[in-house]
Amino acid sequence: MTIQKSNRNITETVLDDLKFSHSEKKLFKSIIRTIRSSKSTSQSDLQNELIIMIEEEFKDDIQKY
Amino acid sequence: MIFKSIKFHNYRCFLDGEISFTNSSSYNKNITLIIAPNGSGKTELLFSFWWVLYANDFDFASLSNKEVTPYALNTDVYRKIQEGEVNNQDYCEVTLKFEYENRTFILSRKETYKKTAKRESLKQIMEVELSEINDKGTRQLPNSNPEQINTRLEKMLPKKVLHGIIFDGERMQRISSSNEKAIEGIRGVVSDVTSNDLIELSIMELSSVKRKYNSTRRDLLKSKDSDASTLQQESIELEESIENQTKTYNNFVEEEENVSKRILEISNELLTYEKTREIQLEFNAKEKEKESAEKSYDKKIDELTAELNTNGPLLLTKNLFNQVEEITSSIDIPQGLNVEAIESIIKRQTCVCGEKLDHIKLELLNELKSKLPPDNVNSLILEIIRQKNNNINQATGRLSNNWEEIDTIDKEIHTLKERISVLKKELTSVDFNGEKLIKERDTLSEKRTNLLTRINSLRDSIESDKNLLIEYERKIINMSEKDKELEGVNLKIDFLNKSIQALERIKEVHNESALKKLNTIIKDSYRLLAEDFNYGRDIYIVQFTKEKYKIVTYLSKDVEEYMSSQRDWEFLSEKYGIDNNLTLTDEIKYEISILENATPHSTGQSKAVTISFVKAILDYSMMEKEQQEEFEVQKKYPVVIDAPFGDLSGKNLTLPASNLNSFSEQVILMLSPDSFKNVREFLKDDVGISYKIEKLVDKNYSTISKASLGVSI
Repeated sequence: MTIQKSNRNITETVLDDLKFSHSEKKLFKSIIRTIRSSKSTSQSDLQNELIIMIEEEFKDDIQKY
Repeated sequence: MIFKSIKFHNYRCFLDGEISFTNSSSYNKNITLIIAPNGSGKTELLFSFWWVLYANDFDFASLSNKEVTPYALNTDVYRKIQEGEVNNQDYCEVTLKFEYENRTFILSRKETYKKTAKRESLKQIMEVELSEINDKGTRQLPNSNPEQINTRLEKMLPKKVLHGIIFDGERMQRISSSNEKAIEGIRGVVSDVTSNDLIELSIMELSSVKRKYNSTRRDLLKSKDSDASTLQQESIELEESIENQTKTYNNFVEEEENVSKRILEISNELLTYEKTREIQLEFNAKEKEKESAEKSYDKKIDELTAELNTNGPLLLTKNLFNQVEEITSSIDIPQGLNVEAIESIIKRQTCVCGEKLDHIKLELLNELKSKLPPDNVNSLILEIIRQKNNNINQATGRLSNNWEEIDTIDKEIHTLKERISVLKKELTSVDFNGEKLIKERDTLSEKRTNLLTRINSLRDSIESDKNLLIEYERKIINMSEKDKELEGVNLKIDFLNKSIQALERIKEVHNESALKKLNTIIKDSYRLLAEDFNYGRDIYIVQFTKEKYKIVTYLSKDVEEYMSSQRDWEFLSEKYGIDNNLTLTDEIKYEISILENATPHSTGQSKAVTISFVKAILDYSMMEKEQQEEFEVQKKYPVVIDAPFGDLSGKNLTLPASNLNSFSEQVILMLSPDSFKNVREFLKDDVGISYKIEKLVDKNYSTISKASLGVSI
């Protein structure tokens, strides 16, 4: 019996399954990159940075309402 | 990570010394070979990597069967301080230079030992420094905060990974037998390569951000005097409760894992206990045998003494009797010729033949009569001597037999004493109380059952609270519809919820996928490195059942046959602790079949398994990962092995030896001169640099020097 190899990008597959839009995927990946490179940032600075990113991304969507 | 060099000062058996390591991205001449006779410091060198990287988690006393002292300082230096004046001090230091992501670091761990007035043992002060060398080759200001250094090292070379890349022959066997360290190794590598820490940190950060948005929404709803504000408050509280429950759940899971680990350890110790009991039984039997042999010995000695008392003087007269016999035999007087017989003839005047005796004959007879002894004692003497000699021979025979028996019993006693001494040593080296262990195991088993009940109940509660939270969320969104400001917050919370869910799923899928990949890779390694593969044996890392991460080997044909027959899969899945919610796929059935048909390994086979496992985790870490994959990263680990080839023969020896360079860009190999001779032909082209370690006669230290692969080694 051979075990099937998965060649699909796991993150991409999971995000698709959870119906992430293109812009949400972009935001998700940016957030992860920010957290990854946040070695020297303090926790509150990091959270503020994440909130700014989220606010920036949803700015246009909110305008619609 | 690539090790560049390691330097010692007063560390264990190395007063001073430095080793530079080679590496090659083309796997060419990438082996650093260290030749050292047994007892000269190979293992000390191996564990110096552990010490410099994670000293706080390293216990020298745990090195069983090794000559160990429980401190890092060289024994002589330690003793000198101990015997010296108060305030005397000295230190040991190990400095490791390494490269990580094209940056060079210097990690230095120093431990100072000082004699104080009050303390019998020396006061120990540990210091650690980590500094980076910049592009200009200058060493930057070092960081000396142990916690920060530990965090950085965990990111570069996690402690768990060390179980899979730094080990000696003894540990190799443990990896494939008890599997605890292999599990740590696999977990460590999988967690490192799939950025488990990053996922967990991301979940934590996003949850914090979500909490902030939830508070904002609650305040907004309150300001609008909406009924949903109460619901929002409840939702926040529920979320906090879920977080707390999750923390408790994780603590319970960790505790359960530790308890299970301890139960497994106890089971292994109890195996030793069983063995010890066998030793004790043999010891008792041998003691009895010795007692009985000693009694027989005493009895035989008594018999010997009695024999000597009775027949000793007789034995001493043997020479005298011999002389008398010699003299008596030299006087040749026929038997029956005595005075009485002559007188009878003279009286009868007639010979026994009837002839009449004349006076000449009668005169001759009278002369003979005067010369004869009064009676013929010769024959009597000879008869007595014959009897005495007979007695002497019998006594000598008895004494000789007796002596032989005494000698045999003596040898037997000697052998018994030797065996008893060995058994006694084995018994005293095992220092544990079996009954106490059995009690501990029973208590732990009960604790584990309770923990599992609480874990299951918490899991259900968290699940149900999460569903309730989704319901609250849906209601809040419905109630806050058509409010622009609230809609905006809702969108962000929805995104954060989805992101956290995605991260949890990614972590799970990564883990499953990593184990699947590792299973494919370890099969390839086994095929390449183990002779037994050619005889139908294969290897597997458990993925789904309660023995997750365990490495087993099996005969492929047995598993195929097992799979093709009718089985009670429900019973089997319960036996192997398969989660009820898990669909019983072919993969799971295959795993159960492997576990049902797992075969034990010999020492050599165990090593072949471990070697395959090491190559597999190194290959997996080096695998090219999917492009744009956020979490899976390529990792480079060195491999440090001490004496891997003992107990290996045939292809199980030649295959790993000739493929060792392909394990990693950097292989640090320690071998005894004899072991090197066996693999020299297979290794010599891959060795980039070689050193030798020599222990100085009657000294507690060894020297390190460069060596060539020529005759000198």
